[in-house]
Amino acid sequence: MRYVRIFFLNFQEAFSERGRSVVWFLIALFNPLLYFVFWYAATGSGNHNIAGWSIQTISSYYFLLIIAGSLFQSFADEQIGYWHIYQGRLTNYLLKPVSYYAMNFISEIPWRIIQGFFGVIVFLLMKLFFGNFIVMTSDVQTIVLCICISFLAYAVSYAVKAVIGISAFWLTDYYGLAEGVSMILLISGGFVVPLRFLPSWIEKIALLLPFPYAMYFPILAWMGKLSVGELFQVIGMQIMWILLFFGLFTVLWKKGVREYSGVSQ
Amino acid sequence: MIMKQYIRVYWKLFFLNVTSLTAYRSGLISNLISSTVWALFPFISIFLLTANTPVLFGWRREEVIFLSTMYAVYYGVFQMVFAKNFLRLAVLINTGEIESFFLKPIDGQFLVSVSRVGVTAFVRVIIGIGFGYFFGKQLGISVSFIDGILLLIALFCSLMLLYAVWMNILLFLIWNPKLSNLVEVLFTISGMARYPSNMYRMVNETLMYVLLPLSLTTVVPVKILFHNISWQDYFLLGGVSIVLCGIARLFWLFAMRFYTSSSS
Repeated sequence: MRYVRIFFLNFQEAFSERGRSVVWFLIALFNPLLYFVFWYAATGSGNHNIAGWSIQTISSYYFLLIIAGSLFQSFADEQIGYWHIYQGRLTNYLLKPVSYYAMNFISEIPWRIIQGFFGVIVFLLMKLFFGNFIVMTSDVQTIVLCICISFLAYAVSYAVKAVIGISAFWLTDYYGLAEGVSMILLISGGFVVPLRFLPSWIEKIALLLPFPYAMYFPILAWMGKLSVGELFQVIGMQIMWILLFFGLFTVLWKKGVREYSGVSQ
Repeated sequence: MIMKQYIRVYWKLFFLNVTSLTAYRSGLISNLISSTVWALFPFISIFLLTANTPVLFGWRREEVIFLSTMYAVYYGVFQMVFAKNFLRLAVLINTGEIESFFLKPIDGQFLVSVSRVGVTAFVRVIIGIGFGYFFGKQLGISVSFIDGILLLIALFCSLMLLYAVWMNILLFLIWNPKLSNLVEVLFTISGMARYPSNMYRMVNETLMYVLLPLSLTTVVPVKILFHNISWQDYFLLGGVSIVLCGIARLFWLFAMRFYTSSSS
């Protein structure tokens, strides 16, 4: 029940700050649109394919990336690393009778829902005006699995970012690490180009990382590019990454809290 | 005389920033890593985007990458001189703390714009110049003394143009202080200058004209080095930057009349 209360309190805050959410959403909007413009121009206004993908497939990918970027992508590292540890506000949360991991996980969901909602609106407008540019699955079984994959995508993203955030126990200024991981996320998560377009050796490395399971595969799932077997495989991998990073977080948390001084920088 | 005074103040501010950066070693290392990562990212993304396409919008792959190097150089200088100040300006407007800048015996806009220096962003400039030199050699670009002077002037105009665009947009925060995260959107929008303007024209003519000021900032310096620049290009870049800087100054004076100093 307390987590439900945390969710609704954060929902109120996120809703009262909806102007800021719109601005955050613009960032999730501009990059995919820019890459779409690039491919549209690169394919000669959509007249030829790139790596077997038509302009319809490419545009679907980037339009869905707008929603995925605002709905699945967690920013828990900043909340934990900067606001709580670097600023010394973690002390308040250590005294509360809730799991720190679960509290942050739930606190961010309202922000994702509101920003994702803007993404859905833009996507629907795109579908309305450029309907023939968007390919999506319509199979009910696939849609149900896609919803599971979407929720797990946020959980994967959160688990990774939470671990980066608590690195601030030792690094204090954790931004260097966060920026390095962000770059790997942008490339291996499929933010710049679909992994299929990457040179094969980079694609192979990217598939060994958790990031494609937080962004790339959920988008492919919604596009209907994965079979039911592959969808279950993605879910399995997502659960594996969540457990792995949750385990890592638990170990690091126990050690990190002993390092925490509560003094802000 | 006044110019000399401003240069002396800037010099002092620069050393204060260096001192404060070196005071925290972990902060310095973190900043250096972050600058290196973001210096490399435009090149990596262009490499990946162009991996399947040898010719883009009439530009060869190497030429598009060379365009990125030019972007990296002037954007690196922008990060060094202005970016941190714009991040702080957004916060100052939100928290209602700009007035301390008006109490100093120096122009408020100048002080707000340059008092913080992103010292570690020099890494971006160096990496940009390094890549530029490498790809310039591959493209057989030779730079004469005159080219060098013209290039420096063009890069200065590009820098001022970008400054003016950011200032003109961020001043709207005076009326909406809560939207201080608008500055993050500007980082994203500025990245649009990495691509040739033809790319936008192929999608929509209007889009190209909207993004023209940003495209000019990289395309004109590159045209100087490719020796296919016309006088219209010089006048366009120079003219647009002077006009936008003038508007930024007038808008600053106008917006400050509505500044209430109350925190949101």
